[in-house]
Amino acid sequence: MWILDSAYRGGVDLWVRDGAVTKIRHDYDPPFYLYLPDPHPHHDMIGTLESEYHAGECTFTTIFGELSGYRVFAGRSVAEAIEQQTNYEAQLFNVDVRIDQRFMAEHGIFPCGAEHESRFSPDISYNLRRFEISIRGNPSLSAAFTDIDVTHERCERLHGRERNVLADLFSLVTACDPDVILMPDADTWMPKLQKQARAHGLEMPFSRTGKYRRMDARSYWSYGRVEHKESALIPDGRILIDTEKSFVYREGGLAGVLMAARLSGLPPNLTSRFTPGTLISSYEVYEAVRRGIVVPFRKSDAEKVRRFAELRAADRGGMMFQPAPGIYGDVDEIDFTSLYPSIIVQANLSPETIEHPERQGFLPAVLDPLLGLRIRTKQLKKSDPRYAGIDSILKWMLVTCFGYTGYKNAKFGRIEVHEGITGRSRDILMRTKDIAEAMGFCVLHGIVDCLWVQGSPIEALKAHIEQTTRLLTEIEHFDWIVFLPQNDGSGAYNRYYGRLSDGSVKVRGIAARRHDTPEYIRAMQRDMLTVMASTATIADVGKAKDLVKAIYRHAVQNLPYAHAQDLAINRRISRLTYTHRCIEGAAVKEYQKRGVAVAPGAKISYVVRDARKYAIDPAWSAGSFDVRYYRELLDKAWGEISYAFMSEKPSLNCVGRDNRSINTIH
Amino acid sequence: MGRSFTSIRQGVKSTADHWARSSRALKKEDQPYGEKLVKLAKKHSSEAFYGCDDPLEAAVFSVLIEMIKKQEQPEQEKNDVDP
Repeated sequence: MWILDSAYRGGVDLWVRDGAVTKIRHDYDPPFYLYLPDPHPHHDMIGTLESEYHAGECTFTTIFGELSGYRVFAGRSVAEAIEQQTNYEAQLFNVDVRIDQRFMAEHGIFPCGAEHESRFSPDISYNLRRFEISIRGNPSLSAAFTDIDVTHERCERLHGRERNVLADLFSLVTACDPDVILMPDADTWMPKLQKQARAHGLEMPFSRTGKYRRMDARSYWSYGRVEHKESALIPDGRILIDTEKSFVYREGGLAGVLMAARLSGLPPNLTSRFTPGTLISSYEVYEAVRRGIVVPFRKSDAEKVRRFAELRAADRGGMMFQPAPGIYGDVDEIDFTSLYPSIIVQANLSPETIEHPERQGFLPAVLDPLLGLRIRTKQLKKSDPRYAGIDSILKWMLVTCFGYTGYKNAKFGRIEVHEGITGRSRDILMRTKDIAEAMGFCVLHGIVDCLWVQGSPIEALKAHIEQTTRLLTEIEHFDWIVFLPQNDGSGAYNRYYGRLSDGSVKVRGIAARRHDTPEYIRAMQRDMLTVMASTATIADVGKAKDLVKAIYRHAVQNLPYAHAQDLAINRRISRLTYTHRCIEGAAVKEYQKRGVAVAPGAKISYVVRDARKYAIDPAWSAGSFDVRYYRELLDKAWGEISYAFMSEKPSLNCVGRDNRSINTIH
Repeated sequence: MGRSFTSIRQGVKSTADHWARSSRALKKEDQPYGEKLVKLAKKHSSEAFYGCDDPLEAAVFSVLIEMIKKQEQPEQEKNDVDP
């Protein structure tokens, strides 16, 4: 039984692909669970729940242990009424677990995999008919469908009057009967498509039942920035992926979306639209239900009151060693594989093990197989790129599982677990530094789970670290690496680039890597890095200076003649009102002036026409640009590269514990 | 996502900013020493983060480490090293 899609509409609908796709309906009306620390004052309420909602006494298991309470066959509104009536004394469980997900978890079935397959196998077999739709035009502006590219068994371009184009598209979809539709900006186009189809009296055939589920638009905080998710129309029994907006698809491709579905017990239509944080919490929920553990509706294990000094000592994040900025030759980067989840598993960190460290924790138990799978895919992707997408999704899910332990509403999170993880990680990085220095290595830089060292033999250091910490590491060798300075001249933690031993260049935090860098500037830096990638030693880097500088001069000379579109700055906006006058605020105003709806977290693309007057044009209509403004950006990007050539400065010597000098120049 | 409060490193940075401002009030011939002090305060702020809970404690730790280093260096090197 290969489940392609699932939904709950009074019963659980599963769309199963077995040659053809068929819908199987299961009657399922599960209860939620209620625990009252003191049930006596609530005698009347319990009586009503028994008569109205078939409530009955039962015991159930939480991660902290067994509780005696009641099962109640009702929905969220009743659960919320109980909370209010008991003055939030009642503890409720399994109230907001998705019903189709809960059904699958309780029955030991899962989406996107055959029954005999393991959810934790890195191999995912699927034979899905794909159909790609690419609508020409700007989805924020255009509402006319007159030009559409379609790819199924062959490529076709549908072009002409809107009614004909839509009729052709719909009949193609009906004839091909695809399982997966890939469509850039699908979630923006779909409501417009539906509206136009209705206007022309056509039936949109994307859903296998004719019905669509609606997901609401929302803006939310994720990792320090506001994101925006558009509303979506989700078809029944068919996977529709917005290839432009889906983070999971961009990172993991179709295999990543399907793997996320298999692990989290959610249909691929949802996993393609969710963030890795939602995926990991859904995975934990699926695992809890599968293991017969109830999922709390609200957290009740609140943090005890602590003194500020105590908080400061306990809650201080990851360890860092500041690099001395400059260029260094023959550097190895030692990287711990999934450090934080490994610490959770190794140290048995879970909300319930804070008070009872002797117990097997829930969090380590459910993360262990996921971590095992990640270690396998990380290994497999080296020889087979097909595993890269799955590996990337697992990486993201495991990265966010740590952050989730400190999130106030996390079902299985607790701030003390969060602190326990970072505390141990600091000790691990310190111990690693001590080992490296004791073996005569010079530690150049370190950040949370990575250490950059000079010295040899690196294999011996790796083996020693792994033996001492019982954690896996990966080594990357840089022929040379440039650590860039901050504005105050001290070393920046996360801005560096260098040539790896396979000849590729790894960059972090510089213009070529930043999302908002205009293409013109990105291309200049990319060309410079391509030249530098051909140099294997610091001396050769120095020799490439003239060639690289020529690229800069060329970019400066041609800047006034560049296409305005190549100077578009792409930004994700965090707000709609700005207290100070700024370029981004001007861009938001310009969008609104032109009737394009924007919300916090939405992406905008603009060209600066006159920075002094805050004159901005949306990228699609830009014709001219402020050369002086872009020259500044260009020079800044050049500064990041030219820093590598500042060898006329006195050389720095990195001295290891054995007082051995290791060659570096600065 | 955990809690957010000013990190030791951010704290040292603002302490150093105060010191930089105060240095401007020094006599002209003393100002370069103020600037050096600001650099020394920031030099080991990352390492100080491991053990110190107070930004001022971390800034003083950083300055003292560099002063002891300089004290123990041979005479001729003292003038070569940029703080």
